[in-house]
Amino acid sequence: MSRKEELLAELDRCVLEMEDDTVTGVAQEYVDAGYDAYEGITEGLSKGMEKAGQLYEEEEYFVPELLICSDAMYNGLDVLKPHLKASTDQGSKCPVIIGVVEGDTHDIGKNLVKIMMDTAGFEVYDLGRDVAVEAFVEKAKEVGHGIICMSTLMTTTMGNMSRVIESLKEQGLRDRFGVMVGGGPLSKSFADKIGADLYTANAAEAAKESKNLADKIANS
Amino acid sequence: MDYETLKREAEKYPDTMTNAERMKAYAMGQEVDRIPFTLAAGDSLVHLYGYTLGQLRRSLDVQFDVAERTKAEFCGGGMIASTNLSLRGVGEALGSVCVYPEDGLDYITDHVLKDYDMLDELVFDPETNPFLQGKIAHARAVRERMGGKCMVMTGGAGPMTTAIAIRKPELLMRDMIRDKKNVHRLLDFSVQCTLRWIEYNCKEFGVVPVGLTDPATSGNLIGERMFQEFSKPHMQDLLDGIRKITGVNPGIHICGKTKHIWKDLKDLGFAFFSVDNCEDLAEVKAALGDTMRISGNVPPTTVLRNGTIDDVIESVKECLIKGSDSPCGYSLAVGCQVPLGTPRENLEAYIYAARRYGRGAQKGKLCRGLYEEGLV
Repeated sequence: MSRKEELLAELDRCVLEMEDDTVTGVAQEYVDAGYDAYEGITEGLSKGMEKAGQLYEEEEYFVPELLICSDAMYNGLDVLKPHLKASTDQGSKCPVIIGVVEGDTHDIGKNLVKIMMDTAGFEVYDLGRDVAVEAFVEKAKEVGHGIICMSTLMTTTMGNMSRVIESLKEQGLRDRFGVMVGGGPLSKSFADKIGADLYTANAAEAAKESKNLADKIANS
Repeated sequence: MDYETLKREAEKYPDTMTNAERMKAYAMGQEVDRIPFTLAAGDSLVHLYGYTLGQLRRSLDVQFDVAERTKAEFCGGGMIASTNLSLRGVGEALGSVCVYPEDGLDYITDHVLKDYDMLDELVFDPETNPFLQGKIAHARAVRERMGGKCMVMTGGAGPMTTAIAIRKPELLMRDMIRDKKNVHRLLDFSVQCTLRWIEYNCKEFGVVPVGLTDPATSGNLIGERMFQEFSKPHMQDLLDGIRKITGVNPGIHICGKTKHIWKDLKDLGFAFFSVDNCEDLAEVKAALGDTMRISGNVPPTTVLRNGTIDDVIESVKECLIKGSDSPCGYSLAVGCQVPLGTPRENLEAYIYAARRYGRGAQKGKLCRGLYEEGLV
């Protein structure tokens, strides 16, 4: 194994094993050696985060573990990102607008989805929590196309998801966006009922499935 | 079934016992008119009577009106004086900032505990805390209006849930890996606050029933290992404390996944467990039914709020088939809180199905209604 491969494996391991301090030094050594930063992200940090997501799906890891893994990933990204070469072909990233709908502040689930979306290579615009219908639509106008991803943990605020979809239709934006929803009280049938394109039950699945949704949008 | 038919059919199955008669007889192992069930507190049904949640919070008149109407229409228990601190009360009393939307559920916008150095300075004093005194004043006003003939109930949240009302959940989740010692300090403090509240209520009102919920301990947030390490020992302290103060083992509702901790709930000695609809009631019965009363678990959102009358009836039947012969007793319930905006006809369908298929209920036996309708 070359030194580069060793360091990539170490970046991967640091994220997976929650080494959120150690990762910084490893990432620094990696860029100091002149290795490609983009590869450091895709073949190192992201690999580790994907494995963490897998363990989360398999109920080996839970929210606390996944949060620390993500701290490690972002610490590594802080070191690698300034070294990304402008000419690197990173493909066109699909934009994702994400937020917890109006009236709800439960954002752990949303944040986990954001982390997994970052990992999966999307351009994520995080609107935060308690996000007004208008704020989703305004951002959609600005971004132009991509995926709108909404979550809520409460039944009282689920209705705001369909308000966003209706508003997208009124503004003539619906065809340019895939809409995905998730959260405790939701189900596929609810997603179908309000005309969303995708429902997923957890953060790891959300990131995987949204890749398919992004392909569908790109090909439509 | 359409709503008109439901209304006609429902008339064939009236209650023949009062709630109190039924509860007493069922607990003694006698056959009762129908399966005991719980449906909803007034705040879930407030929309049916044209009020907002804000109006309900602010006005005693509205609270009495909703309680009386839900008692008449949906077998409610009538007005009670509740001082339950629920999920966020301890946090709010300590200084976490809560907002109360006019027609939505309250939520915390700012958690008080930014740094564990602050923990020793947080004071939970029921005697002097304005938020807590407000709860007591409200209970007194309700009781006074009912001429003293009113049940007072209290309660709060489990250690984990109280802790995330004091410290931001994402920080606490990280602390569970990085700062375990302080997590234990916070969980211990959470338990002491809740016990202090229960003790104070018993001093004010005599021994009162205690209800507990603990959504933050569910498998949706933390796994079995962390439950054992953090939640369970402090939950044990809470239970021991409640037993010492009231002489009674409390019950608990935990939202979300719990299968991995059923054995622990048994060890801890809960008297009663209300299970979320994401778990299988037959499995709950097999695991816990011989030591505690169980209840559940009609899906609140997909069935009760968004389903049809027939969906609700089918779900109630399934619950009764799976749960009604649980050895230590069973009550029909919704898997979690009844959602705001649940249509009247679905609530009526739930009651109709409970009365029809759950008729002739007796602890440890499948309801007579299930046999007579050929369902078992």
